Amino acid sequence: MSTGANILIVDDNESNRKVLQDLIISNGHTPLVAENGYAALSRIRQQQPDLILLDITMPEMDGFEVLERLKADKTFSTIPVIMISSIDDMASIVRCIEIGAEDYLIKPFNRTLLNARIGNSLAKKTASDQELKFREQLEKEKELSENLLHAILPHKFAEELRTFGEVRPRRHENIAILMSDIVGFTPYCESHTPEELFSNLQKISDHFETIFDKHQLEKINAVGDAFMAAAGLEKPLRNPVLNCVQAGLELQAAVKTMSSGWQIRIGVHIGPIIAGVIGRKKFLYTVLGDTVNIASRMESNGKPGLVCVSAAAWEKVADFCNGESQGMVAVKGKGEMEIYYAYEMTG
Amino acid sequence: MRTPATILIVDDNAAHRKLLHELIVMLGHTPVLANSGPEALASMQNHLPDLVLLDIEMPQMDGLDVLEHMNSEQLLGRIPVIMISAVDETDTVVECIKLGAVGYLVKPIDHAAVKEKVETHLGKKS
Repeated sequence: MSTGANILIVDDNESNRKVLQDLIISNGHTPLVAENGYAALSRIRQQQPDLILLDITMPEMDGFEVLERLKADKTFSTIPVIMISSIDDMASIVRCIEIGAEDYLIKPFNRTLLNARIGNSLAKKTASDQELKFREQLEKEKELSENLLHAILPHKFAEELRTFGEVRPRRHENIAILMSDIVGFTPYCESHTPEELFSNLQKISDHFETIFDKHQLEKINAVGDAFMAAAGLEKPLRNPVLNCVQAGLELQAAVKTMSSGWQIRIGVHIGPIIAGVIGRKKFLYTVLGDTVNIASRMESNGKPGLVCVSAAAWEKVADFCNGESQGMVAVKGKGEMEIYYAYEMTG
Repeated sequence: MRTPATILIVDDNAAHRKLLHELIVMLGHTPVLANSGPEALASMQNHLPDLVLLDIEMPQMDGLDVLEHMNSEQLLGRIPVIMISAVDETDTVVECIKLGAVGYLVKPIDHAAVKEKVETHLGKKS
């Protein structure tokens, strides 16, 4: 049972106001009064009541107009209004209900009926307020889960998953892949506490995320100490290799400042890839193909402090950075491939 | 000129049905008749009328029940309904309006009122 509600009585007739006031007080609620439509509207603006008892027939501004104004105003449209009618005038009452009144009462007031209608309206208001609150909460949670989905999957994949329940794998051309790996990670794990390990992984991951964002690289996944990112996947870039090499060199500089003393190898290659989502409950967004394998070989042939790039990738960035060929290297499964070390950006 | 609409008349009183039938024909529309709530619902499924004139006071299933049933079905919920009520049924009429009825007519049936309501509400809720 809701108690102590503020109930506004709007009636031009003093004795009616008095009767209603007494009834409301005896019900444990607080009456507020207004003797005409104008007074009612200004009273409502001062203090929002929980319920309004509104006389239909009043001079100047009648109950219809007050009701119309309230329902037109978003701030007040949810306050329940019970109309007061002097006669059983179906046309007026129906009109009020159509405008949005909650209920009606006929004079002279029947005490039981009045109590029942007030109680009913207040209970409904409480329920609808609660529903609104739940809905807002639900919206918030939906937004949270959507953000989470977007954090795991690139935007268009998340949208596709939400709409169709699955994501079709797609082939993309000209995607630059960046692979990175921490040198000597396994022995580091063995000689440090898990807390230290995680704290440093978190720090390096922060660097990766910041730098990936800056250069429009999409982080694909991080498995242990290995990070993979792609450029040109979410939206086409003019020179995706350049984005990867710039990011790679900045990562090298960032890692140097870390207290863990870690060193990383970075490899970059460009080519076609297949991107898709694996899993139905836990989603793993991943890219596959030879381009990924070669990027991985570039990484394993890399050296701390620089970025190892394939000949195909070097062609795209030779004009923008200092570097040199390391000659032909045996690449597992590929035979001999020429590789380049990029040392720094020029200009 | 409007094309003729199909209007379902639901009333348990034969005299009322006859009167409304004649009025609807006069207005150039096609009347369909039902003498009870269940018959009205069955008829709606068949004819999918453009408008329903629905008596409130009927044995077994009253107008309010019919309206609630219509609301629970997507296709029927979209058909505009005008309630036919006795003078002292304000409470029920208010209930019907809250449930989505577009209007009401008070018995005894007045020719001009029927014409006005029917023409106002035809196609309004499509």
